[in-house]
Amino acid sequence: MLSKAKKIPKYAVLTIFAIIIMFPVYMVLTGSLKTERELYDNVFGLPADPQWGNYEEAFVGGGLGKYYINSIIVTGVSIVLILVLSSMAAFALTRKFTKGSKLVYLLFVIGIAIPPQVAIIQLSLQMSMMHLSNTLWALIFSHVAYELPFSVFIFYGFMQDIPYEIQEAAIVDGCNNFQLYRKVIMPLSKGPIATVIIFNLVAIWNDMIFPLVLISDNNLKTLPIGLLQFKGMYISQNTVMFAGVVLISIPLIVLYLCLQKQFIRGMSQGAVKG
Amino acid sequence: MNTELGTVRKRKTGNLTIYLFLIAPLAVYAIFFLFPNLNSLFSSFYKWDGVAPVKEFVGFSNYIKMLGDPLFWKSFGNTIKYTITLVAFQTLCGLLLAVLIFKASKIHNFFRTLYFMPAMLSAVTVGLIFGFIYDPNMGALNKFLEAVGLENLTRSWLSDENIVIYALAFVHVWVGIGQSVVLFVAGLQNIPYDLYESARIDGAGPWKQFTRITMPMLKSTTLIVLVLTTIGGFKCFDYVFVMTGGGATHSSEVLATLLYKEAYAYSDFGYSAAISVALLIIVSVITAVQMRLLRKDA
Repeated sequence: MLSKAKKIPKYAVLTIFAIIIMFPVYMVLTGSLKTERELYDNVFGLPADPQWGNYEEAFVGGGLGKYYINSIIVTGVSIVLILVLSSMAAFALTRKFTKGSKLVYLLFVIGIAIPPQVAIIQLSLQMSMMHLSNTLWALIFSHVAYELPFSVFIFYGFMQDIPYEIQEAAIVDGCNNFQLYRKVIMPLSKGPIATVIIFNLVAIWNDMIFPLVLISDNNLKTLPIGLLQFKGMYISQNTVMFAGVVLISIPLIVLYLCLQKQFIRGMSQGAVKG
Repeated sequence: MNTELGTVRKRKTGNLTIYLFLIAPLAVYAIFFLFPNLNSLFSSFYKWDGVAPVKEFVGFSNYIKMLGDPLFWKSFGNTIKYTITLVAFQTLCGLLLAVLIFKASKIHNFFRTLYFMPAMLSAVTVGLIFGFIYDPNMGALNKFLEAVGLENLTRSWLSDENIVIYALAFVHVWVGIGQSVVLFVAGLQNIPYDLYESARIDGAGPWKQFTRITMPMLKSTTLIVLVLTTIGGFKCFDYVFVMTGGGATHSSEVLATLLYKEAYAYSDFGYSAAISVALLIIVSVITAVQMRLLRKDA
């Protein structure tokens, strides 16, 4: 084992990286409680007199409250739809009822490699043709369609490995396909369900590209795009912007700290998607 | 294939449910994913300003224009610089940190949790934070350099044409490093401990162990990290869009911001589509190479 002296450089390296990672977080947390003047004069120190008003200003004045509701609706509805649709598709495709199922599976997973940037312009033109622009449905459909490939991939991989005997037994017991899906396969699929929820939660809550091109109505913006407006509105008020940053980020950070293992697992499987 | 004759009839009727199961997901996927992507491909052969009722077929002229467009090549070059910076730092630093913390312990776990945390943040949030850090007058980076006596290094990070693309890539590294640490940790934990044991008995020092055991055993993990970060680099849009929008004078323009601008700022939708097809081809080639290499490895 390493001796104490040998461990010093190791922890020095780890700490330097930790400081680089954590400094912006520290700066935002303390900065959100400073006055503008204080932030300018002393960006590294602690706030002398915590300015909780910055949070009120961000939430009420900046309209983050409104954006919060939109983000919760879009993220929640999208995740439910993704879970249902991708597990159904994976279930159907693992039945291998025809030769075509392999092809359909390929059609789905090919989407993993295609970034939204490729078709984002066409998508927004299409949405306005379908009269869906400036609706939350435009966001929900886009997220669902774009996250299906990865989610189908995760469910498919798992369901393929469920022993055939289990399914056989259920069919012999008189289960039809729907009951097999609902009562046997889904209860077994807790792992992939968690992965799909976590990965999509982070991706959709934080997404900026879809709302950027699909939403222009201020009342329908989600949190990231709502916060982006702060850049223009509060150009000289970085403290309010920091408060906004904290308000947007806190739900996921808290969840992450509570469920780190699941998050890290879900997100690194999601890394395949980049 | 195990088919059970007794249930064949039953299965046939059951297949209807299976088709129904597929209809909804396929419909959403086809309408909101496949269709716009194909449309993007078709549009690249047309000229359209986004308003005119008729699109004019122009064959490959958008692609020919692209090959002769200095702005395209500048954006391409910037994308390469961004990607190389990202890949180099994320792979090397990720591997270094993973080697230091891969053994399970409370303190290692603490560092891993910490390094991974930025992955929870929205690109907008990250962009706004670093936009402030890089600010020439009040930003923390210049203030820090002044405080430690390195005034001559201070600069206007996001408007210095030679620096800006690297400054942006660093932000991506900041967010992504935890991801590569986690991937490398998983790879390192899969290496059987006996290998090191027997190497030590044979008198191999730490460096030899690293180059002869760790590196070869980590080949597929390294490949995954390389490919993921390369694709991430080519796709980059969010940080650039939030922090510089491609400025100063296109010195941080990348392919994804260029195609966005060609459509929305310059109303050249066909050309924008051609750039997006180019981006798609690049990303597909990288993915295909990855698949090939991984298969060979396995």
